[in-house]
Amino acid sequence: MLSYSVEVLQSLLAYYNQALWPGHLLAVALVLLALLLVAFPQQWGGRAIAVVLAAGWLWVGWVYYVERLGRIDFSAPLYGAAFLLQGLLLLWTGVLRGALRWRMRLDLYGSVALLLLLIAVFLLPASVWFADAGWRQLRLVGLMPLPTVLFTVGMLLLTASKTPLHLTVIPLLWALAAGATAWTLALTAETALAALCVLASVMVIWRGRVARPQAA
Amino acid sequence: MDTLSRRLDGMMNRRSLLAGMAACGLSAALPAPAGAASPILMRPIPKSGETIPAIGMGTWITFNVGEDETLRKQRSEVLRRFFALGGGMIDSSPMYGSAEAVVGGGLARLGAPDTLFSATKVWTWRGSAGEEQMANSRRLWGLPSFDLMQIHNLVGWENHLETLLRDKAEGRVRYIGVTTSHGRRHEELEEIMASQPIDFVQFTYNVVDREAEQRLLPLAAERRLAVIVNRPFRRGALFSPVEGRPLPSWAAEIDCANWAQVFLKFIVSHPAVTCAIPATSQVVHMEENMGAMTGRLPDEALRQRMARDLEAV
Ligand SMILES: NC(=O)c1ccc[n+]([C@@H]2O[C@H](COP(=O)([O-])OP(=O)(O)OC[C@H]3O[C@@H](n4cnc5c(N)ncnc54)[C@H](OP(=O)(O)O)[C@@H]3O)[C@@H](O)[C@H]2O)c1
Repeated sequence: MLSYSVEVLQSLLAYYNQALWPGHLLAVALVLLALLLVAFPQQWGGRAIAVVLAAGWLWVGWVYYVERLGRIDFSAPLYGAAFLLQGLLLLWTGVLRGALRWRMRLDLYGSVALLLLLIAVFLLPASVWFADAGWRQLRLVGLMPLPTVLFTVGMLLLTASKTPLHLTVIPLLWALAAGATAWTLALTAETALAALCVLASVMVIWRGRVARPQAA
Repeated sequence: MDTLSRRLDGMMNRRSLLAGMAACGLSAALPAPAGAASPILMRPIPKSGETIPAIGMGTWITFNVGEDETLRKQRSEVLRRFFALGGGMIDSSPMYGSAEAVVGGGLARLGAPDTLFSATKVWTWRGSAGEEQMANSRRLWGLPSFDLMQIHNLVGWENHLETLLRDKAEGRVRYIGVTTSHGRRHEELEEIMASQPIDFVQFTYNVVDREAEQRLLPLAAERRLAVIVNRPFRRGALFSPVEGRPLPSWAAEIDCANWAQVFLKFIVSHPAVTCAIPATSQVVHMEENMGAMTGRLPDEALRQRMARDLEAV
């Protein structure tokens, strides 16, 4: 049960982007750094990528959900809390425990991961060319939920050892809820992307169940 | 504060007049407001005899437009048309995001007319948070008190009812009520209607969702409760099946110029209904909806036929 229309959501996004500029540049730089660290692994790379991912979830949880969407949607703080929790889980697993390492892979998991990263980092931002409100409808990883979840699930498919289940639960639940919402609003592309997220999250879980832990 | 007290004085004068008219049995129609063509349909609140216009306005989704100034101005125009056509009740809730703030902004822009009948809700499980929430609603609307305060979806009703009764005694609210929507917790609602000292009840009723005819509407009449009907258009879903279809022949007998008026006249012609609160974001739709307050209403035989014909559609 949504309490706002698509028109109002777009207007909220426009105000949000206007207020954030030029913070977008920092977000893009951090995302590119994370991608470089997957392509060219470093000793400290695992922790750095986890920090980037966690920062995105914490930002979206607090600034987007609680502070912005919370003004028009009574359920936004709930989503905000879930995003904050995911941010803390990423910090705990990836930074404190140092349990996450990333590497490129060319199998099915790697291909799906690349597709998700491509959509999150390039295709979603590029789609603003087709939006009436232009760059104000920009959706970037670390600033908006959909690209952040797509990017994170893509990255979770690229972990060197199996991904802890607790990092997959919130992205999966979010994708299910977001898919249902997008469906209600007849947003075809968003519904398809949420479905892709669900599929990829299930693949992350599946990979964890069948794969033997590998050395990083 | 000056403007507010003048506004309140205005309201009281008109209200006293209306209550007096109701007592003399003159409450069925009031002279048309500027902009309206003919007298508009008024309905008495059973417990006081005060009359209110039979079509009000909901704010769920339609008035939740956030900070966007363009959208806020456009909704103020919807509000302006509502009042110009004799509108009275505005229904909102803290659950509706920015809707209360947008209504308040509109009232500040237009000046609240003396026909305004402000209705909002308390919506929290924590009884202790209710007072603060209601104070916040008064601030958002820019009003010193509400005409009607309702307990939203019966949430925490035992605790809130105590507060509401006290607020009523101390003049912070004139009427109190409870709300629910289609098919939800009707049994509990019936219990409250039968046993608690409330003035208003709000639930869903429309030409398709007619469950309320069985028990809720007769019980409201028996207990002398004013009835607010929500989701009169089934959240807009009533329109798609009739899109492009000509109006039935009987629509002319009740002076309906469009489908919105057919749906609304079906509702407000039920003797137990006080007010229907369609929500709209568009001035043209507001004009259509308010048109349901003028002209003839269906009698019981025609109401049955309307329900039959529309069920078939
Ligand atoms: N439990 C509760 O307390 C509770 C529950 C439900 C509802 N309510 C209250 O009841 C109000 C009414 O219910 P609702 O908003 O759910 O549904 P509704 O009034 O049955 O339908 C609203 C929809 O109808 C469309 N509409 C309005 N006038 C129209 C016209 N003349 N022609 C074509 N389409 C028209 C609106 O679209 P446009 O914007 O395009 O006109 C909107 O999408 C709510 O706003 C709320 O205040 C309370």
